[in-house]
Amino acid sequence: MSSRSKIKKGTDSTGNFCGQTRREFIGNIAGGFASLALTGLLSTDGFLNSQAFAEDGVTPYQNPLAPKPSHFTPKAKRVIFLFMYGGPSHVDTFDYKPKLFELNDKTVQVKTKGRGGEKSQGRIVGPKWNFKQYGESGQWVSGLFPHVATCVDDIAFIKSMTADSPLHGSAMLMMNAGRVLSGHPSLGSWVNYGLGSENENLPGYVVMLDRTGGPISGAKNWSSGYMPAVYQGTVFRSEGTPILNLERPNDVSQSEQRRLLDYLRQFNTTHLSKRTDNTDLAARISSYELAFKMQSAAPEAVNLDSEPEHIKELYGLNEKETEEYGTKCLLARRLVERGVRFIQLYSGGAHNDANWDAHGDIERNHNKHAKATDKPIAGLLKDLKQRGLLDETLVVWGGEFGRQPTAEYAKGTGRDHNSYGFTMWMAGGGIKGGISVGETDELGSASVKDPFHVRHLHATILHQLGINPNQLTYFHSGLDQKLVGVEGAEPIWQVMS
Amino acid sequence: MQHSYFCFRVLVFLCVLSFLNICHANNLSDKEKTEFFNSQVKPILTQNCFQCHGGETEVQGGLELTSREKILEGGHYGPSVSLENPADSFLLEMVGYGQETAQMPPNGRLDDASLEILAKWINIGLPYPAQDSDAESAFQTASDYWAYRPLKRPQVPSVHASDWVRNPIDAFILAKLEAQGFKPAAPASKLTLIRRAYYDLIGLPPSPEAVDAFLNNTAPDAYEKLIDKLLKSPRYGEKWGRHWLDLVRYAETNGYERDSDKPYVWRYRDYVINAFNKDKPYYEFIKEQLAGDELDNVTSETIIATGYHRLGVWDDEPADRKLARYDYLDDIVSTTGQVMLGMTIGCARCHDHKIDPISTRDYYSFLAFFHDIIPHNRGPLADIGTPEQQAERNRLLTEKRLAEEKFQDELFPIQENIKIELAKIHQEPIASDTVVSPIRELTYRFYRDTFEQFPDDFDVLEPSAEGKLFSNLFSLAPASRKKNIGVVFEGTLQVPEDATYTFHINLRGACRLILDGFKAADLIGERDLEIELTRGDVSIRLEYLNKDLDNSQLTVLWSGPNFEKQPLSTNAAINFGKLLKTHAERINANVPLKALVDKYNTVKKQRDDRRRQRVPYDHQALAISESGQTPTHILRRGNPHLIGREVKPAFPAVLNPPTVNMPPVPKDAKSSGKRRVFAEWVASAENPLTARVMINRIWQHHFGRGIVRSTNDFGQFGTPPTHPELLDWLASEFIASGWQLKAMHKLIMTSNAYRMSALNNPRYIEQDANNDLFWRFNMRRLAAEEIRDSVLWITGKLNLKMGGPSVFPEVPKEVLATASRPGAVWGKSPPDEANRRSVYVKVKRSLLVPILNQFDQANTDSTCPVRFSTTVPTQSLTMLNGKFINDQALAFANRMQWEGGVTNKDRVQFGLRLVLCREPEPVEIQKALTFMQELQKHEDVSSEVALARFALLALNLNEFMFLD
Repeated sequence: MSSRSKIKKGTDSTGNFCGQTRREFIGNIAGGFASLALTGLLSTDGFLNSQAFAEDGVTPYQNPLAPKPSHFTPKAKRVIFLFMYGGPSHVDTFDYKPKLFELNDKTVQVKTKGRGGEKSQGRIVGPKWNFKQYGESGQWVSGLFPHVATCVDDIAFIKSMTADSPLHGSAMLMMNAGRVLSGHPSLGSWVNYGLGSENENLPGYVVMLDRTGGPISGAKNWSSGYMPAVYQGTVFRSEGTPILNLERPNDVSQSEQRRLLDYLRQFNTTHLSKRTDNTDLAARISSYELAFKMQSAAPEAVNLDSEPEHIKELYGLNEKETEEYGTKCLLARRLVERGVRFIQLYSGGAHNDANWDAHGDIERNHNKHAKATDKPIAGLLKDLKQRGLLDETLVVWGGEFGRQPTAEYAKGTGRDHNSYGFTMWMAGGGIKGGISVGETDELGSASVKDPFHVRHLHATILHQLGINPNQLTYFHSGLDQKLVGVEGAEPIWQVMS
Repeated sequence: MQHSYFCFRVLVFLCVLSFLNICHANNLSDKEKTEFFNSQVKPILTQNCFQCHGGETEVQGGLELTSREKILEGGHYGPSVSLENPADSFLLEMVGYGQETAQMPPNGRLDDASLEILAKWINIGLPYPAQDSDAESAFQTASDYWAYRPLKRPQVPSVHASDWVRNPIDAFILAKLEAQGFKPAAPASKLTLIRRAYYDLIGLPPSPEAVDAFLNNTAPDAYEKLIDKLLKSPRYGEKWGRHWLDLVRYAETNGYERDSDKPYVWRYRDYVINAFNKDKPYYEFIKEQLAGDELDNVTSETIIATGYHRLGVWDDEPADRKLARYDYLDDIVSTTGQVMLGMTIGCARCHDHKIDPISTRDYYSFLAFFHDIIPHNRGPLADIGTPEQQAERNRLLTEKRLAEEKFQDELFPIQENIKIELAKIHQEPIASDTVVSPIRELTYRFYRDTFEQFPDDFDVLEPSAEGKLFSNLFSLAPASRKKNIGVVFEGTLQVPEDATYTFHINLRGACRLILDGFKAADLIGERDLEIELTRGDVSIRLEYLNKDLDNSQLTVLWSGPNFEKQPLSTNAAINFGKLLKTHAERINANVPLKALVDKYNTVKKQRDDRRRQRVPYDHQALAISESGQTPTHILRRGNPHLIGREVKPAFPAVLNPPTVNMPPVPKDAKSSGKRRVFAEWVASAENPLTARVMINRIWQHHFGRGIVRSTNDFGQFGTPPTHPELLDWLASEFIASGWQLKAMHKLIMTSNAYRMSALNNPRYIEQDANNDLFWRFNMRRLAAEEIRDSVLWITGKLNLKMGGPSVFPEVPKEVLATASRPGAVWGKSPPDEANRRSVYVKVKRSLLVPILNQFDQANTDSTCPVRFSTTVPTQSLTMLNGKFINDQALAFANRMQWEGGVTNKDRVQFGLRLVLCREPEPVEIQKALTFMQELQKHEDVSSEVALARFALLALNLNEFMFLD
């Protein structure tokens, strides 16, 4: 933890390792090494306090993976961010605008800005799906999300979102890292930097991509920016080996590798014996044991064999269209159960209609992507709830922006990007269900009531995790940097239970 | 919910106060009080309070915190501080969140340390020295700041243990050690020293032969000779160039959605490597990068150097173009400020710097030097070819153009014939834009010539192409080039009745109209001609000529007694591809027509193939260019839409700089010369920062940290130097040596300070865990590039070829799958190319090579002054299971087998010598052999496989990964 960070460490390094002297402790490492609790012990005692210095050349840092206390009692322990890449249309999903049905195909005066530039008028595209009210709270949901509709009493809709950019490249960076400029750490990195990881055998920040490919800018979307690479997201695959290089080479057995590690440890321990003050060396020794454990922990986490049939059914694993996203959602639940702090699941990848970017035909595009995600997302919410996990798991849904009420081209139903107003929703993790906050105008073109910026969304996520968004800082380039920007941002208090 | 720790906090707070009451007895001098306020209190006020209580904007609650008087006076709620009873101060109650209704700052309680400072401040009587309003005094304090003071060579201190002093560096280090009662660590062994020197200078391990030679060389200057040898190695530039590339955010793509390539940017990388290898004086090095295009002696090298300005991220599709423009300039300003001056000037973009005396005025005056740089997308590539190379390129381009035109000349008549034939078998107009012309049987002849004058008789000249015109309208479409052409049209004009007709002619070029065999006129420009004609067929001939005009144009209309203007010429071209498609059936049914179309397709393909053949020309560089003279304004809050006062280029005031005298811009100059003025100031011995900042970086990469740890920030947010006199002495030496780095490496490396061992001293580590005093050498883990390069070197696979376009080592497909265009994102290099040093590996912003990324390569989106050194399990996974490391382990095992001897003992010994750079102990060899035997016995692997596993183990040793 950075000495300039405003989060206080739980225990300061005292140089005293559970009543043992440093020498005794090292002796113990050399003797019986494979202790499960070892790293936990190392981290909380500040043993991994490293000689290395952070990028500013000032800040000594400790084992970055160690859990850290939050600022205050958190409502949520973990986050699942369902990222609808490409920008789902709010007016076709959750932001009901009766006027648009009336005005279908009529040209109206409305200010829009998208990839096609700024326009002051356009032809209204009436939504192609009917809206109905659902749940006790009567939230409006379109025919695109019949399953999610059954969960609305657990959901808080934020219908007045705004972002700084209506263009994918910068908008993706904004939703993921709070800035339109490249080079800043992503939300998941901030969360792991602020809170550490609960499970040392799994990454603290997991990203699962679409089969068609990553989003544009690729790894920049889960980058740790100017923070160390340890805080960057780990790409987890839902098929095959989940993590890069997790799998031993084909011709290496587990016991063979175990033997190699035992001998490696012998060599390294001898090397350490004359350099006991160098905690990096000890940390590296323990990192091999962790790596070895990850090799069983991660495949276990992604092995769905033990999931009963009705659970697979709940997530839509038995249907072709929903199998991919359903698998990711089910994996997310399993990772949440195993203490992974931040999980991001991409719906859509690559370019054009492989994601929610419906420039040409909104009907075809949104039918496809909503179909692929509706049942899995509802399944995830229900499953988390029935296991009592929803209370402590914050689920966030949305894309990098929404879409315009008007058509992009002279013909067709495609909509261009819209960052003036769009909808995101949250559920679980201390969020008040069955409510909507904020409003767009009667066309859904821009936020008019209680507009919220992406920074407010980020502030809300951090707040639910027990972090004061305005006090989580990282010193870089002469500034105490914050996810929510220099000027800070308040969380969206209205959505909290 | 944000108050859940409320009781606890109040408790802590009260404890703090009682503690402070004890401190109350402390009597501080005025100077100490001022220092305390400036260094401790003011940052808290600035960061948390001044936004609402700073007096600049609307003051909230009537409370201004800008002077002692105003604080005592208080706001709407009364006095905010009680000097009689400090603990009762309302201000403390507010900031301590002591009451639910009175809590400041509103966005969260200050941390305990800050509260403690504020309480102490009140306890010592609320000292509040005159502030910024009194600019003069603030300026004087700032000018006295250690980093901004003019550089003076300090006296070398005298020390007791003077026999340890090999050069003045040692005296500076030892003086501090002795003051603390410390002794320097024992000298490192020769083994440690050679490995340390190799990695520090060339980033690769010494060979066993080099180790032996050094150990056996007992000459007193053996070590100096070793350093000389390494400094002469081309590997030196590859290692030290990489340090510079980290600083200047070097990457080979633009980032963002498309993450497109920066063409020829690798030339900049090669320039840097060569500059280090040639020991180019540092002042020249930075002058070339900042203003290589504006120097007296501009060469291709200095042009390439200006690529410095174009290395950053660039969004080709920004949401706000104005803002993006300033983001781009800010990248240059911030990078330059931090890298060359150790100033975080970028902080003053939106507001005056929070703590350093840098104003927004300074920021925009600094930006003004760079304001005319052309936006990245419009900045062209610079031609750095020799005149011969340029001439050769022009020759090839001409050749290509001629070939294309030849095909075009062949193609056009076929095309016209097809239209004519098609029209014959088709009753209606073949295309909607077909116009009915009063001319019949119109033919053309196209001449390609520079024409000394308008030829009297075109007919004696040989045309380049000729044929019929389907449209029967004059058209310049048959000309396969725009300039220096002649076209002669001949046909029959159908005149409806005896009358006077007007020909309306408008053209670029010259023309001659001949009707019924009589010359009507020689024309240029726009003319109306009245001509009497008789009814019936009249021959019409038009000769058109373009001499040296960039564009050809010809418009002819006529009007008669009974009709308005009708066209006799056309610029329109029927979409031929569409035409062929529309009439495909008809064409296929007609054999001659089909033959024509086939011919057309054949020639068209030949033309297109030729067109696609690019004239290779690699003598280009990504360099700077300027255009215009943009006035620079202060932008309020950094917002490009809130334009403030205009500023002229100026250096930051706090550095007490010379006035900027901008020389007049010569008429034909391609740039304003502003950057040269800037560069000359940065690269001058009078600049207090430049030499200090650079020598500190050299020290950093030898000792693991700078004398100033925050090597990019010499301001007050940075860390003060642990050895300020040493820093100034080294900076003076650096300038005296002609700003040459190699002399400084040698100076530093021959000191006893550098030659200390890294061994621990339990007593010292308790008192100085961070080694602030340099009582020993700092161990370090190898950098990402050193790990990859060393592995390749050990296995014998490292390709030492230098320079040129970057290479693409194999990246696992799982990593490629993370890109939005998984198949198109990464190239493929042949194996030996892929095995080149890491400094030549492609640096793509959106896709990182796993082994380099995991071992903390530099982040490329902004300047990276200090690499992280992290330890995480995914590194171990990569080093155990990754394809690269396992391929290399196999290669290493092969090498041990072929070069190491016949017994496994010999092979293991050979291998460990390569990895550890020392003779292995018998017990280590034995351990390795036992390991291999166990594998064979219990894991049923062959002896070859066992050796490969040992190879993998060896490459994972901490002793390999770390440097003593």
